[in-house]
Amino acid sequence: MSELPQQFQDLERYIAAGWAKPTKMERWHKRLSCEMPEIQEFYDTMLERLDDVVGHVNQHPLDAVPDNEQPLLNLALSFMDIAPAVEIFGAPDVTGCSYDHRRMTVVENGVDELVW
Amino acid sequence: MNKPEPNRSGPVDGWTAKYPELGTDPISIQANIDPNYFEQEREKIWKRSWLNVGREEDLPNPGDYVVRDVEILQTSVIIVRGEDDVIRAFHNVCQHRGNRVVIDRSGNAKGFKCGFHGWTYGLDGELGYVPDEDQFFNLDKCKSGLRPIATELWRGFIFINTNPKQNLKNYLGEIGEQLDPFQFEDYQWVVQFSVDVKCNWKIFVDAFQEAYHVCELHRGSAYEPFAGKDNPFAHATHMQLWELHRMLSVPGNPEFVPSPSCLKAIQYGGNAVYTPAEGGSDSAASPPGTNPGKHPNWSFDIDVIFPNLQLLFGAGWYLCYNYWPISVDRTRWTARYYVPPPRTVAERIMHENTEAQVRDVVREDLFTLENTQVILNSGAITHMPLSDQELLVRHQYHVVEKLVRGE
Repeated sequence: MSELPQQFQDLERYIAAGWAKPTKMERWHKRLSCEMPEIQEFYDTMLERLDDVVGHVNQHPLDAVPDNEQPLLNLALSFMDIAPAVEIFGAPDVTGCSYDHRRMTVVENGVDELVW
Repeated sequence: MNKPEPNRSGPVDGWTAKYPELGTDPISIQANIDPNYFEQEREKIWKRSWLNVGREEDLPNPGDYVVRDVEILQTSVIIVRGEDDVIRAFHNVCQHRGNRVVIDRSGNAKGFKCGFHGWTYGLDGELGYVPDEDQFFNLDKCKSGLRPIATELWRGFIFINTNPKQNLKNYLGEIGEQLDPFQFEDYQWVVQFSVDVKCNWKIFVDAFQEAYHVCELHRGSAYEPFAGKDNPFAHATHMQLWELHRMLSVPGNPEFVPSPSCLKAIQYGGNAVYTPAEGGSDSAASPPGTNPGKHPNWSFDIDVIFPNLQLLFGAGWYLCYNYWPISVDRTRWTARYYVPPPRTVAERIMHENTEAQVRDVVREDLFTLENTQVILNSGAITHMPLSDQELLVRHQYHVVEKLVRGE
């Protein structure tokens, strides 16, 4: 078990399922590795709970989110990452024609090593 | 039959008519497939133009450096902030026997020592130390510094030029003046996407300098934010061409209804990338330096600073694209998404919404590139007809051809 605040215990299962990855690249690849029913279920729950989650983590300064609440923030970030899958594509990845995701490198400022 | 009049945001005769020297004929595709033409571009364009290699905040402290392999210049470049805070660029080549001096991609240094024989250069490029110097014959250390590359800054953007004919300010001309009021210093990048695509650099730029494709390629993903009942083909609300550079304004759809996640993002932090245009509000949402046409249904601008820098400006964000040709049919590209630094956790979450959408939509754009290059190589088409909405595409081939011909 992680140590989420009491009122978010219902979200623990998403952390266990890997929806609280710390980097953009990992969150994106998690989305791509899942089937739609799982993504949809995560989306529906998070949309319902998002204001509570954001309201809670937003009490902290941006650079001082406590370690035990970082997974909660990551869940909110994951929600934003998977939203296009539900709202636009109806599929985990971009549907129809799109550039192979394995050939795109995502670098997060201050987190990942910069590539040229 | 009453056919509804299409909404033409621009001049009655269209945009192309404003630039009669460009003509209206189909454009030859030869410039995208001919290796000899590519070599001409290398010599007459890329080795004589101001090329953007980053921003000054990439090198915040004296001694900070990055190394860029720039294939189109056939060299490796060190870009470094000196002890005097001046940003300089050098060929990454030891003046002794030509070894590559800096192997690391980036870092902070007091100077640069070649790993071959230990020749050591200062951050200003001067040759400081030569081991066993007495063994050399008439070595003039003052003339043996790292070979400099002209480096100038505009609004924090670092440009290099291996053979400048004019300074950067004159090179940019009016597009630089037009964009000058934009508050670049208030933004920082949060994510970078990079790809290496098997296509000509001009095909790559073309994919991002017209909005005609929005209605088909992005029909499911990014059509409604820009095209609506009043402007179903997302006609540009403004276009401007200069001698080398160009820009257009992409419309916003005032009736666009954001998705639930986008509405959350707006709730948490204000503007997201697809925030609806502020219809009728006198362009209140457009930042200084953007929306030169002052169109009320403005979404974002696309500015192309020839040849390798493209800037997209929206309300509360900008994107910086850099193009680096490797060969006639291969180009490296980076896209950085810049926003005002998030002040709260909620704003951080807001940005994630936009980043995911940009990433997904850009992959639709990228998909067309390699298919196009393959077909062009086949010779199955020789020319491309271009619409009034593709004026910037037409302009690019016109500019390139003029420079290759030496005009």
